[in-house]
Amino acid sequence: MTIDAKPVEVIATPALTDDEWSILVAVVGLVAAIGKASN
Amino acid sequence: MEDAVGAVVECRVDPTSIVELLPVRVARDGDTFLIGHHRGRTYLALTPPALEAATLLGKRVPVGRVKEILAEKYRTGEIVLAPLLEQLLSAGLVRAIDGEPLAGQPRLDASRPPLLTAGRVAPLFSAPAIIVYALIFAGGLLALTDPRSWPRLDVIAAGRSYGTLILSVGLLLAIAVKHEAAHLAAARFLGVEASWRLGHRLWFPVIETDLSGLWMVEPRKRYLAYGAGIASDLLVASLALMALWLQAHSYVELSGGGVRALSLTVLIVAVGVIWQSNVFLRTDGYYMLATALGCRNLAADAKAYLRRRPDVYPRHVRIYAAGYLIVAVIFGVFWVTGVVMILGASDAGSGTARTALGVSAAVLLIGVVAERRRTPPRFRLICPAGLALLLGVLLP
Repeated sequence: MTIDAKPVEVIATPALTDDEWSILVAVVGLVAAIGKASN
Repeated sequence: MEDAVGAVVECRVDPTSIVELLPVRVARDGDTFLIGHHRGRTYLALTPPALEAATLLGKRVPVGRVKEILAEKYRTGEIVLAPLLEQLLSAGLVRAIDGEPLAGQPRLDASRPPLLTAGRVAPLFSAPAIIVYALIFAGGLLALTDPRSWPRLDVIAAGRSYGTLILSVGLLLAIAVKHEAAHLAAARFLGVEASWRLGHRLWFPVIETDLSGLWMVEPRKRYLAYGAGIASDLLVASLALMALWLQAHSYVELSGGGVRALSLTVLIVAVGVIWQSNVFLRTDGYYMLATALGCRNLAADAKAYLRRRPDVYPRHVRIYAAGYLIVAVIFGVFWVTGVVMILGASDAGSGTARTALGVSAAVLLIGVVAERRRTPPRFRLICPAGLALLLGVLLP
């Protein structure tokens, strides 16, 4: 009889994930575009 | 033995060995038991015999005697305990073996008492507070029905680009920290240990809240901790929308900067909530879905299914895996298209664009450093080389 255990998922909710960094970069891009248009 | 986070734990155990465990918490989850400690690396799902073995080990019963007791109880010839011991080690739940503390295992040093205790956060989740939140949400929804209170893109565009950039980043960080604080407060309210830590996704540094202690509460209560972040975001957006409505109807007089900040707040929250609903990344929406489906490893199971295609995975895991694959392909196409567009952009040399790209590159660099310890050697070369190439192409 084999006694084993299975790890369960680590629950970690990231505040700044790659997707949120993408949003940051997108906001930066948006501002850059606005800056370009206003010049 | 390599554990879930890549650390190697080496030790020798014989029948007379006494394996000292951390003081773990135990919760029943269907026909299995979940055990773990907040300072450990991960929680474990145990069958009843495995829990009995862990309980005996926790009482400092020698390994050989644990085997004898279980063999006698289950009337079986031989008990193989090594897989359980390996998992306990990997999970960081073993304090010492034969009195020798293990290197690389989590330490239980006395730490400062947390600022957010269950008692302190309880008022945030009281009935009067819920009523106030409901009224604010209702106010935000009413404001949303009036187009004059919508975010003012014209006011955002009218501001100085550098000022708007700083304001955007500042608001994004403030909203993100508030979002995580809401998760933390909800977890503490449920009596769960939770903490902030610096982590990373791919090469990007992230601030994340470790809510693994939620395994110790019943599934329906977990939704409170998962949903608290988005609920707090919507609360802030509702307040911003109400303020914009008051401004639009001349009840209050806000400066251009004030309207800009409120408009950006609504936009950032809207985009953030949409992203948090992407169940194919480890978002709040993902954890809610995994809880609803009763999965303890939904993403890992789906990826394992895609690699090996065994029939042992339940139907919902296979459906999720198919969705994951489709979304990954779509994102990949978008990503490549975006990179090609950036590289081909004729205005990449303009002042603001240079600053924006510099900020992005700095973020990427920090992420590369954060990732370095876990990155395979070839990527350690590719990442800086790619970054240097990107900067060489984009910066004059």
